[in-house]
Amino acid sequence: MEVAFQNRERVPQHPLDDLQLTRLQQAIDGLNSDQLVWASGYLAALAAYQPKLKQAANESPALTLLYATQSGNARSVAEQLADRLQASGYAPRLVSAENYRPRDLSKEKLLIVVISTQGEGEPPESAYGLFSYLQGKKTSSLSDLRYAIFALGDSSYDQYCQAGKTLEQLLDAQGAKRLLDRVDADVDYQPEAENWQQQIHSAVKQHQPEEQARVIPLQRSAPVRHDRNNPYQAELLERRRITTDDALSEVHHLSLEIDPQLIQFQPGDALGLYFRNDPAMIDELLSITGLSCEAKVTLGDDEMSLSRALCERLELTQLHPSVVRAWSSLTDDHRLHALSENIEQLRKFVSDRQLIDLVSTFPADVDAQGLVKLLHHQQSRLYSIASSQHAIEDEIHLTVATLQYQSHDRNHLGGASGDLTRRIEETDRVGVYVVENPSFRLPTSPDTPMIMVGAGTGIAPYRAFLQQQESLGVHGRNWLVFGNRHFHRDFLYQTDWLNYRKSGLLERISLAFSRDNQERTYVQARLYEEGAELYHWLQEGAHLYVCGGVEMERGVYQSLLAIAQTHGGHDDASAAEYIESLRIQGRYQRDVY
Amino acid sequence: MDIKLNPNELIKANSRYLRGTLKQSMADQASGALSADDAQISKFHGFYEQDDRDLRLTRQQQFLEPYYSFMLRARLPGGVCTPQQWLTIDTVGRDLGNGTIRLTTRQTFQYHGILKANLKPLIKRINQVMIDSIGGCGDVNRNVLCNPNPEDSSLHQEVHLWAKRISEHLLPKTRAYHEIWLDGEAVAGGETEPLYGETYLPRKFKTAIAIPPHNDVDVYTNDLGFVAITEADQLLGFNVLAGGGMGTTHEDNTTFPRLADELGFIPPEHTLAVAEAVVAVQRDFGDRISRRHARLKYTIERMGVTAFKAEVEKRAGILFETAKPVSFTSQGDRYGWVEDNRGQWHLTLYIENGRIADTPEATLMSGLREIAGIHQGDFRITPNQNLIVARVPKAQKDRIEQLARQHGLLSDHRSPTRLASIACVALPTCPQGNG
Ligand SMILES: Cc1cc2nc3c(=O)[nH]c(=O)nc-3n(C[C@H](O)[C@H](O)[C@H](O)COP(=O)(O)OP(=O)(O)OC[C@H]3O[C@@H](n4cnc5c(N)ncnc54)[C@H](O)[C@@H]3O)c2cc1C
Ligand SMILES: Cc1cc2nc3c(=O)[nH]c(=O)nc-3n(C[C@H](O)[C@H](O)[C@H](O)COP(=O)(O)O)c2cc1C
Repeated sequence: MEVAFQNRERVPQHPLDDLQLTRLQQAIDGLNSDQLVWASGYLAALAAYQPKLKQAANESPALTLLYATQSGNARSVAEQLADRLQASGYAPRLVSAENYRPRDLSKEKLLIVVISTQGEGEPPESAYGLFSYLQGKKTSSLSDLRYAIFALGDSSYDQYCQAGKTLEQLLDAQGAKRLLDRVDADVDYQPEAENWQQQIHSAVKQHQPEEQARVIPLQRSAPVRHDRNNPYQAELLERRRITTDDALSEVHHLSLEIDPQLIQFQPGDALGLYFRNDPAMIDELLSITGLSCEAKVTLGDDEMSLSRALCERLELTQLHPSVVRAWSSLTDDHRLHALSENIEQLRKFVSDRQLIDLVSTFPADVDAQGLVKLLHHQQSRLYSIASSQHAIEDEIHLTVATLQYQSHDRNHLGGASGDLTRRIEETDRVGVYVVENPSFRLPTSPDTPMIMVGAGTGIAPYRAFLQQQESLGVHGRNWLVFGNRHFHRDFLYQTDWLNYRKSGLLERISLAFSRDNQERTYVQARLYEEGAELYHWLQEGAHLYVCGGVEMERGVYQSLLAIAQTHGGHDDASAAEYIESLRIQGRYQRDVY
Repeated sequence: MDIKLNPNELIKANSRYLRGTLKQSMADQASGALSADDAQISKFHGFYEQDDRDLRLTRQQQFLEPYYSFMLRARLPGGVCTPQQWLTIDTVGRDLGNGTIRLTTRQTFQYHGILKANLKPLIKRINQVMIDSIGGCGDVNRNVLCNPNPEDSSLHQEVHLWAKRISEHLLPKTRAYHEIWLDGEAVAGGETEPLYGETYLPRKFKTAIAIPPHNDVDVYTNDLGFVAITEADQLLGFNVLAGGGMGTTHEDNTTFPRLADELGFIPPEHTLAVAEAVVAVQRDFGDRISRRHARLKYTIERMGVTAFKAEVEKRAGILFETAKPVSFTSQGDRYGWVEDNRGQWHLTLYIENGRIADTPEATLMSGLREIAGIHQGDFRITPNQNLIVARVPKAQKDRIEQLARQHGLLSDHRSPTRLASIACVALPTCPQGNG
């Protein structure tokens, strides 16, 4: 929607009806020109942030910015681009993929997509609808469309930026034309994004001359937003291990204090957070490289000591192929040189190594600034929020599994999980921000039945779901399906579920503890066993949620196919369609990591 | 004075002859516990719910319920079992319990640390070798004791048979146990419990048979006692005793220990009628308000022995004869080998606290398993929590002794104090020690 008034007399062609127009004129009556200018920017910003408010169905937008994100990276790139375009007078429509109607594609002129890759080369959850539309039979020609794709990914995955690639193929197949070639961006995507935004800017200029744009932009006056670039410093209130000492996995329950005015979240959302690297590992790195912890380094605009940069700002525990390549160029080691040439082997190499393994096996001369330059910025990590803000306003609960593994003669700890479960102490602060997850939400109608499937820490969001329903005092039939290793050792939040069952909030609890007996039963097998009941719930309109590891999710999907066949009389193809239809209706929601 | 019926009475009454909601409790995977009422009913099926108190607080902070497990006590009249039965007892303990077997002062064995999911398979497997756990811990007649009498094997066999008959005669008649654990068919209705009624006894009930001059079973401390009267190896009948019991409640001086009263002599053919009558009188006259005062000894104190005896005679349709004179000269096990009058040998093994396990010091459990593999007689659990390898032919004596020594079941260095010690199983998990 374009909202632009230069003066009251010369009102351009507009999409408002008479009543709306009268109201608007009343509202701006008496404003001076500065005020009018301000109001125009305000409305533009409103439009950009509230895609739902905009766009009557039959209206063709001049420029649409579509993003599909899981952890918010794609969204922030798209937002930056929107800001930039607005600053030059464009009024792009900024919209998240799940709010986008795929049918509208045929009406688009310019479409700019920022999309990340998830799973194993899959698009983010929010883009499933779009993808299945484009893969389906009902698509119409897109020959009027020009598009550009910015694909976010991580080159340590086999299917690097695959979702962007797939989308490009799908659009090409429908005859869409390229505004710009696709750009793939790795974990340190910011410089690439900067470049790309400039290119888009000039390309848009060519296709849509500025005269057409009539919005006079202003700085967004939205309240301070805590996002990945401006995390909120939350204090750790409490941490406790919630698996027994003899459990195979170490899982902790954390409670962080937040200011509810500044941090708001919904059940289903995740928390992004930054962490401190292990000081012992940093000492070892310094001693191997012979660098001083006091050495001054610059990181962007900031100057700080090397030890602080290593501790707080740089990625040390996820080793990236590009870091190995950069390190390789500092050494004469031909093994490392050969490795750097072979991406397959390189991916394998980094998969179970941290920086410390690289540096200790292949020593090299490097100065402090050189080291800082070759490393990536620390990536925030995501954790499902395990509490409801409606129930506990000023706390965020997390369920964190300690990642630890033995490889290359060394005990490794995950960066974030190591810090959260082994190092930080009560009253310490953690930089956090909320990562919205609109594709993992409680049903809008509270009496809709829910089937919540989770393995391991995948159970965390359901605690938020049920806390929310408990504190709202409304719920439907709820069924929890949980899997882990041992009933006595790692039945996460057992007493919560038992209490919810007692109070009637939970009707049914199904469990699979894989190491309690010989058969190694997992949730997917349990689901299949209880397939008749599950299918019945689905027929009653239940929403099905799945949260946890990729493997589990895949197993659950297979079980659902089998259940649809056994209990729903479907054949191979129609079973898949049935599940797809659940997904499209928002009744099959997944949060997989 | 508070005159409300003890809550257990209602639980029993509502249990539909000991079914309760045990099936649902067992099917619930989300908790390792039974429902509170089922935890009472389960005792009649032979097992207790326990939780490790040392872990309670920690687990609460871990959002975990207490660590529940179960102790199951078998019914094994007179403590006698065959080597084949022993092999099963051993395997089941390894597979489904915590890997140990505990011998009790009531001549039976217990498994500890059984998880809820393992209860049903465990009960099924012991039943396959004709051992059940009915009444192991409930308000009914408990395991019947019988002097193990290694010296006099033929007499032991005859008297032991009476221990079995009494035990079976006093079993509850409900099919609940078969339905729930052995997949027996559900009873359509019209079920009754002719002896016990739907509220069973007010409290546990203990029965023992002694064979003078041995009083290993401590016959005067049982609710119901039978003292075998013999003449030239022939059983003439029993002196019947009633109302013994040593338990008291700490700091409650309305509770007291009491030795049984002698009711008189009966010939063998009246044994079951008298046992049934004593149970019936306790059923009707026992205290159902205060469980502390619910044992038969308090009932007899209230009624007076004369009235009690008359009531028993009336119900059994007999008259007691004057009790025969008896004298007990020994109590306690005689360790090592003894030979009986038929030339068979019996080896009494000292088992500290009745605990049979494989430890770094001694492999008692494996040792007994090996002995059971070759033994042809029987095993007898003694009232002192020891074990007799009974009826060994002379030819096998050395082999068995060798195995016993090899696994630490037998050694020449034992201090007398250690031998005299009988400890109650006072683990943190056990609310009432040994029953
Ligand atoms: C939406 C979302 C929600 C999430 N929710 C939760 C949650 O609720 N709770 C939770 O605990 N986690 C959750 N996670 C996972 C979490 O974000 C982190 O990925 C996890 O904690 C590990 O991070 P880290 O920094 O500790 O490990 P990192 O330092 O990131 O180390 C990870 C690296 O270690 C290596 N590695 C991992 N496992 C092994 C192994 N077995 N052998 C050898 N090498 C290995 C791999 O190279 C891997 O890339 C979620 C993730 C997402 C995306
Ligand atoms: C569970 C998971 C799976 C991923 N799989 C891939 C992949 O297959 N290929 C790839 O290029 N990147 C993959 N990535 C990396 C993301 O695409 C990358 O982190 C991106 O910056 C995330 O952007 P977003 O926050 O907009 O979702 C994966 C990330 C996660 C968390």
